[in-house]
Amino acid sequence: MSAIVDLILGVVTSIGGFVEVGSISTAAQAGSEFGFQLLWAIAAAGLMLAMLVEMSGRLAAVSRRSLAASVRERFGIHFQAVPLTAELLIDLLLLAAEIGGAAIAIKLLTGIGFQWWILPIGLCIWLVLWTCGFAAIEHGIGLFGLVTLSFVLAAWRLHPSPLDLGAGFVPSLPGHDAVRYAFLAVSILGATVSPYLLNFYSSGAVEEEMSEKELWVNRTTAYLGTAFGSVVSMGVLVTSAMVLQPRQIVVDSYEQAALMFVPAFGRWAITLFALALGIGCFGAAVELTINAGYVAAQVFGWSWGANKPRRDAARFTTAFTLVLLMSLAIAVIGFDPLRLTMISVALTVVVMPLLVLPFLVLMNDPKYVKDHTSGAIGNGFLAVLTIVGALLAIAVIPLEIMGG
Amino acid sequence: MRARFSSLVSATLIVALAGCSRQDERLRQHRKHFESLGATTAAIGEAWLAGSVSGTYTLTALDQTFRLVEQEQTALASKPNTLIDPRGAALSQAAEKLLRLLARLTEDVRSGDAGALRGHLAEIPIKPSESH
Amino acid sequence: MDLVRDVLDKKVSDRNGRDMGRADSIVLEIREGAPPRVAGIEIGPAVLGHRVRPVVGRWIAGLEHALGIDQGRPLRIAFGEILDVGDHVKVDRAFGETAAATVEQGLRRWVSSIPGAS
Repeated sequence: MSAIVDLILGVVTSIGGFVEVGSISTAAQAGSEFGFQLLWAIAAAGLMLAMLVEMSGRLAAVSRRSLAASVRERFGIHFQAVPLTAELLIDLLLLAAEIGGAAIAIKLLTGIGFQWWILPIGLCIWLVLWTCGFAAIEHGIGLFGLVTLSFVLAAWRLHPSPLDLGAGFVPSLPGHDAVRYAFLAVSILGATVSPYLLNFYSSGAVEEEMSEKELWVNRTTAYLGTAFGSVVSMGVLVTSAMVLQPRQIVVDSYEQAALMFVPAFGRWAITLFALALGIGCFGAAVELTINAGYVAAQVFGWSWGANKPRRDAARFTTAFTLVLLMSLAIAVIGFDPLRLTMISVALTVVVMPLLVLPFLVLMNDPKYVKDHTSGAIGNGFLAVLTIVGALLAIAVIPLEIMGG
Repeated sequence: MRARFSSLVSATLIVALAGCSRQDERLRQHRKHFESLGATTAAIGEAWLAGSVSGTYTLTALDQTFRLVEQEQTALASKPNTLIDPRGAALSQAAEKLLRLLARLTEDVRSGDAGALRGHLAEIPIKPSESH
Repeated sequence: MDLVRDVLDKKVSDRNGRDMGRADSIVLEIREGAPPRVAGIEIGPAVLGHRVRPVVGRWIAGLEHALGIDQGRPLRIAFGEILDVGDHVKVDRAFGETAAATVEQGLRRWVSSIPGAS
């Protein structure tokens, strides 16, 4: 019974916590410029994320170590220094973008400039992390985040053609702006497969003492949760495609993106959009912040855990506080959150091979996963993802310059 | 000698054509963004007239659109060649008109004058063409 | 025992099970006319930094000195004090009595001053 409850909570949490500033930005732009043509990119990215999340959870449940800890132990600091530095830099930028996204959500409702909301939001993030344990953080974010289902509801109310939707799941060449199309496809991948998600999920599995007996819960949560979560992302794209593309509105700001809710929700449009954007971004910001603490503590061997009294893990607490302060400093300068988002998703793609490669070794090392090693499908997927990731890593910066 | 001269002319033509097509692409992108911002202006105004969005959001969105038009105009002017091109000059003038219009629309919303706003929406100088 | 696989970079815990850090470095004693002997392990950001790049290690050591927290750091644990090498390295020390706890104890003072820390 408890496992079933865990499973349901896990799936619901995954849905509510899926959509954040990266997925909203990329899906909204994709829909407004290319209609349904990039639905396949969201589906593909979702599948990749599901497989990587399942592996992260399996690693944590069997080895009782998080992903970051496993990489340090298996590969040593020489290897880890590069992806660790890259991940921390990306997390800093993405956290600033999430805080900015939440601030813009409040601006949509109040009219007061988003920079005024940065510090109060930062304080709220810190207070949540100061007072809540892991389950409260994860489930709270997930449950409040269910407001993002409004994207799915909006798409449904607009009655898209099932045939046109189906065609969007088949990769096709665009009729215009091929470079921009390619850039958005790659960006969707970078926005979906965020590095922080993998370590956050594995850290959570360690915190909640997931065991080998619950591997089926892990697998089901990873695949079902990500599948449903991807549907929310698709809801953003479809709504944008149905409302903004016919008017040829290219999404360059969240104020423009909010217009996509008007036909479906009328007077409630802006409120719902602001809630979905704000809660999605806030939740992701909380996860990003605590993950920074997780990564630092796990790599350096400090005491860590959201379920520990904060004074018993002082370095862990200080680490996530410092990262939050640095991100607030970036956010308060007033960089456009949409631009920050697109830069951080591009950087994610650049470092993706370094993040995926360790899985190839760890998931086949009985010392870490005992007899739960990856089969041919898992290894084949990782090998393909590493190679494709390496090619995309080379292509993404020119694509960002030409099509971003 | 003649062959060398022909090669030189061909090379010059290729470079000139490449430059022209880059210019064409730049102008096309600028036009696309200005049309998008014109369409955004129309969408915001129509939503306000229909009562679908609050005055607070409308003013916020118009202000953001104003900033985006300014940014696009600055980007257009950053390459002097595009302003010399008649198409670029026309875009720059349309952007200027759109900025003034956005300021008028903002006043209309502040004063709650739906009639004036409706009239001003009809004056949006640059919007996507109907054929798209 | 494979030193790199089983000891280096592994989590180190004290006799009471408290996390002390990670085995950031292995110390070998070079003996004349005899094979090198494992003298012990070291824990500390300066030795870890040194493994990445010697200049990074020097910078961190300098920072520790400037902050006045370099006493007894990096923490060296003799091989004879290692109780077990399994899932992690267990040593016959108490974390709170070692230099590895300097920063944790220092930061605990400010963390504890905030309501709700416990």
